[in-house]
Amino acid sequence: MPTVLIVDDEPAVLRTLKRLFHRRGFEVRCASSPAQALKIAGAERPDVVISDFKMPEMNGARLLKEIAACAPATLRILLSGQIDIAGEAISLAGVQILPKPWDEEKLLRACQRSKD
Amino acid sequence: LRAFDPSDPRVKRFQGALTKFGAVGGMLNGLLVLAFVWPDRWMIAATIVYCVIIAAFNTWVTVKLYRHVKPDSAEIFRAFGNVTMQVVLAQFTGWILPVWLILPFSAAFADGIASRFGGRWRIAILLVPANAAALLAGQPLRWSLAMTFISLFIWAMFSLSVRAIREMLADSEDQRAALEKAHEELKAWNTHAIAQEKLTSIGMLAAGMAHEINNPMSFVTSNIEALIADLESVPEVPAPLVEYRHEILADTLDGCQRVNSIVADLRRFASGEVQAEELFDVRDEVDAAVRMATSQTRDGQAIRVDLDAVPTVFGSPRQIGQVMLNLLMNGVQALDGPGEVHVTTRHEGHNVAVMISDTGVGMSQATLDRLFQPFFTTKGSGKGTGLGLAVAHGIVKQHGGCIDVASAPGAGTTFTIRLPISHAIA
Repeated sequence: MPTVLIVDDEPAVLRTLKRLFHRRGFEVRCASSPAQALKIAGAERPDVVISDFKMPEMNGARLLKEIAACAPATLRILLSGQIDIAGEAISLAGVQILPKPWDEEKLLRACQRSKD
Repeated sequence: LRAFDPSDPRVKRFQGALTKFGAVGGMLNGLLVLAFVWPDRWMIAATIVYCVIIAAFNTWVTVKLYRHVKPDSAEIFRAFGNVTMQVVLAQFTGWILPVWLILPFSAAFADGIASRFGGRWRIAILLVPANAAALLAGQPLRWSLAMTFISLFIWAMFSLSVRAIREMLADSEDQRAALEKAHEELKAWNTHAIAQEKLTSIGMLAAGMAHEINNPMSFVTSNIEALIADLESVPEVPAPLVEYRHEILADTLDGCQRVNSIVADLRRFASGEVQAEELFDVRDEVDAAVRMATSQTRDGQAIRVDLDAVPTVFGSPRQIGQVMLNLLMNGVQALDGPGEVHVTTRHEGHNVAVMISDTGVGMSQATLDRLFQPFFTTKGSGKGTGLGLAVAHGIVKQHGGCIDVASAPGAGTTFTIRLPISHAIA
């Protein structure tokens, strides 16, 4: 079963995404802070990481860059209100960017690649 | 040398003062005569009548003639009237001295303030009757010559100073006009700056609110979608929920999506933070914007990218990224059904050019005319804020660049953004 790590500082977002992925047959891990996410990513090497952009401590782009360093095989997805990340273009190489609010099907399709 | 403008209030004041001065001069002249004719009662009475007539005449000239006749002619008339009156008085009293005394005094003010040539006529009008009267009365010629010389000398001195004043006034007039122009320009810039400032403040407020709304809306929307899907999959829905399943939840979801699209638009319109300026490669921002905009494409729609290597530009990469995203989103939204948006970059002399073309519906001239106006939108209500292109335009201009647009109904649209290449040493 593929593992997906969801990172967001908003608990309701975590719950919603957790239920969505759980139903579609993913094993779901949740982190409510970038620090927690790095710990989980380093230890469990999830197949997919879905991160919010705006979080205290560290933004999603930086987090995904660090995750790429410790878990290079992990598929990285940034959920973002688009313009937030315009200045982070360089640190976002290899990251899929999906808008927030997300389209369930598009989000699942993006993650599906790791499932196959 | 320029003539004075007779409608200038300063010239009017000056003329008024001169004429009053003339009236007072006439009075003083009369007093002088009075000292000589004293104690002859008839002579005293005649002198007083003379003084009153001169004062009244001067006042009348000031009030009436200056208003209705050319000031130049009025002044000649006044000088001539005064000197004639003095000559009459001199003949009457048999004493020519008052005329000689008043002559240099009148000569001082004989130079025209309204025209260049008025002064010569006026001095002639003073000298000729006075000299004629003096000679006819049997006065010695040397007196005439001496007084004429003194009068001409005083006239020349005063003419020169009037000329200098005239030049100074003209200079100050020029300076005033230049200052006024500069002031107008500053005022226009200030208005512009205030408008920009307002737009920026609105933008920051909107971006801040949009961010706060966006997060809860993301899970609210997702949960409603999940609820709709779950209700669909339940075979037997309890009666009170049937209406929800068929209508209410669909409306609710539609409402959520409308809120989401407005919020997304507001977030694109302005980012809440000011970013430091730096040297950057436009292609990085185009790449990121393309990846973001790709998530908005539907089936049969694509964004094709051909980016030539371009020099770096200086500015805010985040803002330029926002411009690219706004224009790409515009392109994607213009596609009616299948189509493509094509993005290219090119090095053009001193500029980096980014071309964003779509195969979409295109725009009419009426739309093009208002394209960059804030709050102008062709999208239905609740679908767009009409700020995207206005903001893009503002950002590009701030970077010293320009946006050109070519479009025709049904023939797609091409936006060309040109940004100046940075000559700073990276």
